[in-house]
Amino acid sequence: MSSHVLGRTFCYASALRRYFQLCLVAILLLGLSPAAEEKRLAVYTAQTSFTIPVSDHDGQEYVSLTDLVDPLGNATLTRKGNRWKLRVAAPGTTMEAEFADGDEVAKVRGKKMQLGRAFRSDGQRGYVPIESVALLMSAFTRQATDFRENSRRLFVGNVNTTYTEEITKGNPNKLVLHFSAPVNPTVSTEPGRVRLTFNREPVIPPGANPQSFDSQTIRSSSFSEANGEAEIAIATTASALATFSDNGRTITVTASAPAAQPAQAQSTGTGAAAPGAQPTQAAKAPQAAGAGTQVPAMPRFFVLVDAAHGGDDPGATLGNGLLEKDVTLAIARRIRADLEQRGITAVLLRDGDATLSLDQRAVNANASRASLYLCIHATTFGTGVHLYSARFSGGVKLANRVFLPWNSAQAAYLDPSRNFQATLVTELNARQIHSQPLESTLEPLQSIAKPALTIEVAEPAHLPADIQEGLSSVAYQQQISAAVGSAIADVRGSLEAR
Amino acid sequence: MVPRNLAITIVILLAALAGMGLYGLHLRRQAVELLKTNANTKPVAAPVSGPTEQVTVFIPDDDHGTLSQRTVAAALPSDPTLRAREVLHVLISQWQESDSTHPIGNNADVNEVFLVDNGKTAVVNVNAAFADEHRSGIMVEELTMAALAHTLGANIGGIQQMKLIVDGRERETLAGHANLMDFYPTNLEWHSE
Repeated sequence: MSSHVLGRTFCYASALRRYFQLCLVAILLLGLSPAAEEKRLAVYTAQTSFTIPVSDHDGQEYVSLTDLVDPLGNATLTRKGNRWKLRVAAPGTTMEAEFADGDEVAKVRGKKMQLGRAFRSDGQRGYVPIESVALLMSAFTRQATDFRENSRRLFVGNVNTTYTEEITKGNPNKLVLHFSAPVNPTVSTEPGRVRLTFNREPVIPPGANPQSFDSQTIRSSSFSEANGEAEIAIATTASALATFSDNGRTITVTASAPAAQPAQAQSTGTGAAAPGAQPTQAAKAPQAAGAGTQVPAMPRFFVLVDAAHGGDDPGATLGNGLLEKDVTLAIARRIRADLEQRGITAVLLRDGDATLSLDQRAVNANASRASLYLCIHATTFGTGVHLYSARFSGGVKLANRVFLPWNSAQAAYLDPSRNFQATLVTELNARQIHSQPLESTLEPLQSIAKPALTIEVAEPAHLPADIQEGLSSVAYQQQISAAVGSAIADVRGSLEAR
Repeated sequence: MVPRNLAITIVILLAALAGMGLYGLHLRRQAVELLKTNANTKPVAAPVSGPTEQVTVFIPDDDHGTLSQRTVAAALPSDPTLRAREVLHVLISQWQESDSTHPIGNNADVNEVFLVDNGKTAVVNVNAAFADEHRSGIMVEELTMAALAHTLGANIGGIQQMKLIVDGRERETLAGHANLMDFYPTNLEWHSE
């Protein structure tokens, strides 16, 4: 009997355990399943571009009337019973419209208009069916509209931003995208693909889409649009880097296969979207490029130079109307020129007046295979050159980490970064340029997963006879660039050995 | 020929006109002085009474990139959070002196200081002018953060780190450079004089 009871107890325990396991799997699946993406409508006008949420009512898509018209001017929506009165006061014009709960007909500027489906409200806000937004905006603005219903993108007036694509063959191959107006997409990279996502720009597809290229490293590009966004996806067979120039009108995608990868590296690893993932990306390239083919290659060792600020972010004003963003770009270009004279390739993260967020800089830097990252700042306070390596006050545990935490990715590279900092101090001192090695929690430095340094160039401590203007002096900038170039040449061996 | 009485009248009127002109200029000068006095919105004294104490403050030197220590006598409340705020008021008023080596906007101020994590972390809420009028540059901004953290650490026992928020909200940078999303330790190493 006791064995029977024991057997039944074991059976219950086993069933209970299986039940808990099923529950756990269900909870995990629920937790891991992606949340439904919020539906959005993008509206592009000559004055402004904006996105508004799209809500579902009885399976039909609606947008809030106030959300739709508020960016056009001062909009007021008042309710009287089941009737709603909209008044939009824009510079030089006033527009009035009337809607009624449950009514498919509205009165806009005194004229009746079919909405397609009934206007509805939730007591606080009025909603119009999404298919009526083109007609409504056309009546509100008195401009022609183009509504791409499938992708929920509404163009008011002639606001299209067009672009052309051009492959520049060389070492490495480049895809140059020229836009008819400045753009500022979000850039994301993954093995074999660079994505440019346009949230606010009315970018429309080029004549041929998708476009194939006669290039070993940049294979094709395709334009797609969905949920109020446009995207250009560029297929590459090697790790790629997107840089901005021409005041945000030009984006250059540089894709480079490694010149020579150790055989061991080619067979290692699975992809990981972590800051430290670039070795995996680099290892995949030769296989994808095709065995036995000559691929124009970016050297294994190259430096990524990031001119801080740019575009909408001018940085500090350095006197005489000089902006920090212009000085940083000038110094970055001089460093590139100096490095090229030494046979070291340097790539500028921005080679024009483009706006890049701190996160965008870190994403681009981490996606590249650069051996060293330099961020250039300029100031009129203090003297000489201030050299900042990262500081981690809380202490970061690095042991057995597969993924690096985004905000402290630099912690894994502090030793080579500080070694380069010390080398640069020596080189600057040799040129009698005052330098201060410092630490800081600056971004994007903290998030860079490679040896990295932030360099703040200040006025020279004492002006040599050949330097007249201080910070903006070509001779002074060249001296600093030479010190940076020399220091990079000094540490190149140790960085390549990593 | 102008009659004598008429000539005398004209001379008297011209003299009166000149006198009124001079008096008008005098009034204008007075009004300008009054406006200048009213425009100075800098707080003149800490609103605390009682015996004064020695407050250690850290004064950055923007030109040399250094922090120097100074002691100032000030009346401080006993409550730690009010005391921390008062200490920072004293520090900022030093920066607002006309001969300051680390000038900051006249309207810059500390709204509140919150002590959290058993008094180990100070969250300093400054007003928008503090950040908006701050000079832009890595070193000047880092000096501000280091001086605030050092001053808190030197005067309020137990504080180990500081975080700055602006008008009650987190902000990415102070004036385009110093990272305000991070904490600044009160024992932060800096070149001191």
